[in-house]
Amino acid sequence: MEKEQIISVNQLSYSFGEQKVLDHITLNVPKGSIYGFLGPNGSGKTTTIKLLLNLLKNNNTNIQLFGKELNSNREEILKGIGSLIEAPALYHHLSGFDNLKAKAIILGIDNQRIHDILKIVGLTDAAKKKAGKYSLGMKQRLGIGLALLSDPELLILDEPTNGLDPNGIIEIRNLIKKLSSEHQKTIFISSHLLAEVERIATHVGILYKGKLNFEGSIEELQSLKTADICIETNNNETAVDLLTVSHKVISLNNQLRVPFESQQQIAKINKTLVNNGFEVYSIYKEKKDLESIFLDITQTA
Amino acid sequence: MKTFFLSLRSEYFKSRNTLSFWGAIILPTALCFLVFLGFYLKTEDIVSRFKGVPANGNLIWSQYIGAIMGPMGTLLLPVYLIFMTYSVNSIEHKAETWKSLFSLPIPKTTVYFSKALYTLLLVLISMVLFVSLSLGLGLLLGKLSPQLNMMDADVSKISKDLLQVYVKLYIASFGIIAVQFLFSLIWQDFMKPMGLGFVLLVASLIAFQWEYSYLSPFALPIRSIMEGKKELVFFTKELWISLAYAAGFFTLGYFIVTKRSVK
Repeated sequence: MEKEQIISVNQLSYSFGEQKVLDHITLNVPKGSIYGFLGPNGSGKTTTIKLLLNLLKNNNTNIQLFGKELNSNREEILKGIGSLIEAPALYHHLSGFDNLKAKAIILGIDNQRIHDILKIVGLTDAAKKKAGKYSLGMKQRLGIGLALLSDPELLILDEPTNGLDPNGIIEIRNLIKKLSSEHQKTIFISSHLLAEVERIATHVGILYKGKLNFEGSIEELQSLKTADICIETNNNETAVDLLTVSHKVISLNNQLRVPFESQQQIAKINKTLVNNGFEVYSIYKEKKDLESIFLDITQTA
Repeated sequence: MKTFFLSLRSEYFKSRNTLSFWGAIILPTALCFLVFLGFYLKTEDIVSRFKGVPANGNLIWSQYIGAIMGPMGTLLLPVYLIFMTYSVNSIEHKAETWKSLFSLPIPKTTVYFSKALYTLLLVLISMVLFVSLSLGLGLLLGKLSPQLNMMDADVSKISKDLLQVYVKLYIASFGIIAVQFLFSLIWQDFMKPMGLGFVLLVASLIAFQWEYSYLSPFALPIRSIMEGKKELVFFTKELWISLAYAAGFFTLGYFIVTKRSVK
């Protein structure tokens, strides 16, 4: 049976005036997943998130959350979402506790829950300190605390590690893992750092210039970790023509790359090149890491 | 309805330690105490103006109340309104919390109208303080300086008139509040809403003698109390115009907030 989808977006497009920001993207976020929404800066991640939260106007009915259409079930859907968009929105003149309290009043949440949240995000000792005096990491954690306050089923976090030092990044990463494993949240987290997402995500969507170029589980993404044969000759330009006859060849950084099939294939390529008068300086097998897969996915768009 | 009151409570909670809230208390308190002190310290000068005749309590009451209301209605109140509407919205602009407010599971209209009503309530607090402090300190002045004969005056009529004039002043302020509320809602920076507000206020004061000056919301508070001085007609055209401005601009703000995207 197919897993329940918490977010389901179908052919979503969005423009700021003439500029098309999202181009027919389709997203499926399964329940209980940590969904890494990856893409370079300016690829449309925040726009997507703002559309998911009904902050940007979308007149179509192609966004569904918890199986319900967003425009006609706005408040009911928002009850199930906690969000942190861009930099955390905090009242700097209020303490950490009071920032949570201002939201708790509207949502009818008691003080005990505020104390619990402060504990989860590790801010109990700094509860009375003004948020304006918090470090960036503490502000991010308070932002996540605000998102968690109503105990939502879905957490949407937009670049939660942005601007943090390595320690701060580790803290947030551990917190996200904890929220997923101990509190069973579905977490939709956007980032421009593949390495970051790779460490925590169970599912990945890769957005580039408004198009979703990949969506699948982290295992599916990793299965793309194919290997290449890297070749360097005295005349790469001509060698490309020769090898293209029987292989898919990419010329990159003074190297020729051919998708690896077998050891025999390496020997065969070497022989072909030598027999045709090329000097082979190097020929070796190289496994692609996720970073280069990410680059392939985003740059072949 | 419950969400609306919770939202209103949250507005108070957020602003209770800011100048926008304390301004509503400090302005009437400071002004009333200053005028009280002035009258108390200069009691002899005031009595001497009556040249041996016992001081006329009614006249002194009207001078005393006028000394508070004069600067208030002409300049302090409009300036305070411009500042206060700015600061109520700037809390959200500064903290970039509009996106958080509008992603709460409550209708956008609740967020907007609770903020608008909170602004009106702050001004109401200020007006209530003006009435009670004017009266309370006036009575204290009468006790401390019996030679002013303020206790001999018809205090119940004075209280009634005072209340009526401040209710007029309050309603006449709605126009400025609604206009400035909209300005500070759409413009994040300090200069645009405050600058435009001051320019409009000064222009309205300069054009005060113009026969159509009542059409400017910025001239309405002072006009409402000046009209009131002749004979106490409650619902003058100034009040209707102020209410019309409030209805128009609050509705416009509502459409802007609910229809536009939150950046």
